[in-house]
Amino acid sequence: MNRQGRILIVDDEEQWRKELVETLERGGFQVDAVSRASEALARLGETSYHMLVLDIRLVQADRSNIEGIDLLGELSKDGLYEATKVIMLSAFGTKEHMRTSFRKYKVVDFLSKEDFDNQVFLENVRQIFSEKVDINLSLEINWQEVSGPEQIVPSLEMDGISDTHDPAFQSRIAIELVDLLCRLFYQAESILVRPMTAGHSGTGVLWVQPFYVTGGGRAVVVKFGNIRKIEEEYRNFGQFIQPFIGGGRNTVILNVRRTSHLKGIIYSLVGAANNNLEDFGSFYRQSSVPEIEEALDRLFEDTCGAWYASPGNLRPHKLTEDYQQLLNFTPEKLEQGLSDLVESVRGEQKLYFKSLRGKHAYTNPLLATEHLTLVQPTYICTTHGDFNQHNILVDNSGNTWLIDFLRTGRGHILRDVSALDSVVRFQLLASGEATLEERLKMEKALCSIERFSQVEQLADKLPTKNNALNKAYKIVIHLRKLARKLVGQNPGDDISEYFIALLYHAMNTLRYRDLSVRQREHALLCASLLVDRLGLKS
Amino acid sequence: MEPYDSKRILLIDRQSHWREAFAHALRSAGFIVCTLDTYNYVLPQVCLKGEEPDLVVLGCVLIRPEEQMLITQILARKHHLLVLSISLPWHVMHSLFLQGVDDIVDKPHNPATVVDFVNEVLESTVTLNSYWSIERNGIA
Repeated sequence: MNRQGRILIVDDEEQWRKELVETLERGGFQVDAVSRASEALARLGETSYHMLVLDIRLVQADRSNIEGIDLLGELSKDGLYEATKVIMLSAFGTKEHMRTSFRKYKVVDFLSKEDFDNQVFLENVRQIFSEKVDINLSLEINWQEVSGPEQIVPSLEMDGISDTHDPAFQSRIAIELVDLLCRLFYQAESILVRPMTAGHSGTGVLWVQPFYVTGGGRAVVVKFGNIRKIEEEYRNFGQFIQPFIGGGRNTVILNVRRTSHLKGIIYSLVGAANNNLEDFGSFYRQSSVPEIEEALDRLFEDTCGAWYASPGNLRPHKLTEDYQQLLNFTPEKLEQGLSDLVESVRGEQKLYFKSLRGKHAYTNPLLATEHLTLVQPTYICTTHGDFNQHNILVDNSGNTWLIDFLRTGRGHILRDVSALDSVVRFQLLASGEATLEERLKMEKALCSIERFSQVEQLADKLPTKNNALNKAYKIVIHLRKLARKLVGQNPGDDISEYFIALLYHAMNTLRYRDLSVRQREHALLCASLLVDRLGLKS
Repeated sequence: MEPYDSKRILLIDRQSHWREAFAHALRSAGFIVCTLDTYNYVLPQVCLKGEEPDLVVLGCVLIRPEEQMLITQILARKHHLLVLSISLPWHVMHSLFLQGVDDIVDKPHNPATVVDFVNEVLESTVTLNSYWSIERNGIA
């Protein structure tokens, strides 16, 4: 497939616009032309251009006019010229203009109209496309499981865009997604692409296998979305993940590129023996308890082992602040989550669950924790920050890799294990697999201990014939054994810090509207029991 | 002992009075400066104790074939380069920028001014390293 390079010309002189458009269209490019900087900014907001040809003076009569240079300044504010390469073309350019354009705004060329030659200009543009834009417009994209990019973009969250479901916007972002793939895989001839389920961050994840002139390449994972989020993820990777790369299986970054609105990262899963990777959710559903336990051991001891091996000294840590920042929740957001359950949960100070037998009243965890700052002696280390069923990838042998480092950073050492513990109980234990009564029994059993050293005793505390519940319970016990190991050097043996972490994850689960009412009720019940277990009162 | 995060500048200028004046101004501003009076580009590895320079500053009068050869060597090693020269013609400046020189300015009469030019280039290279260098080189 041959796509056209898109070029925007900004020149106040009609004769020049006409000549440039004709020249570039003759060369096979798709060309738009405007006369003013304001029009250019509007066009750049609507369309993702690969190149901008920009005059310096956009008001011919005004010799002091440098609207073109000012436009460069506007483009630089959000780094747009990373995606759109700029050629300056001017009759009045000074050496200082040239210097400013190259040094400050990284233009790719600065040409004079005085010695302009159509053919040379066209060759220049072609050369810049091949050397600087680094895009393969001929890339053959083969979509699997979806018919095209239009089916993938609706879940994206974009800064400053309130209605991401607007068809015009979606169509534009779909074109940009194709453009992004053409940039990320500019050395490939074709790619096979299929969507992977994304988490709650409003970004997208793709599984991509590239094919080169020399043959098929290893499958990789592409994370893409809102530029700000992907840049943050990229920075986190460089700061927290890169220093630990080495040895066996690692996630590494192969390339990062952007378009006007999207940015994407290629993650390579080094050491993956085959292309049959699945996310943890899918692996959990298809695997036995011993297989899952083995994968979890590898996850915490190999994949993330180096992070947890450097926990520093035991010191008091504000867990409330840690989890509020990590999970980005406020009392108002949690309250909204609780009010969504109004059909099935009544009460304010005390909560009554319609699905439960009897009239037992449960403490409202939101009110009980409203003004509390919980501090516990613990350890701080690098953590992934967003362990969920989609961000952990597992191969046929139970080896694990991580993707999505948007929330990666230093924090409570039990962040990740407690997050996965919550995911298993509230998400992987599917809605129809256990009643709320059964879930309550599990939570009561799990809350029945006070010290990490008692985790082993949990094994016999939930007699049940419900296989799904039994599986979740066993996996959670295994995770708590791993949690115990992570804080094994703490002589305190107090399990409270883990319960506090679970409490915040449980309350945050109320915000996940894609979960069923029963799963969110389960999270609410769990939070209530933990509040009582910890003896918390606002 | 220099501060841990001091930037390393390699200053190349065959004219001793410029070289010494610029080096003094840069050292006074807290930079680690290594000076070269030749165009032998093997030496910086010795004078910077094996460390790569954060920026190379080349002072010269003209861009003759020997300066051009040196510039090619510097850019080939992906070092950032500031050229201090004397009123270079348009086409020479254009050619140097296209090759990847970070900035080209006239040699300042006040040596202290060179510190501003160096800081400007270093600031823009920080951005470049953070966001764009991966596009050029990739990482693994």
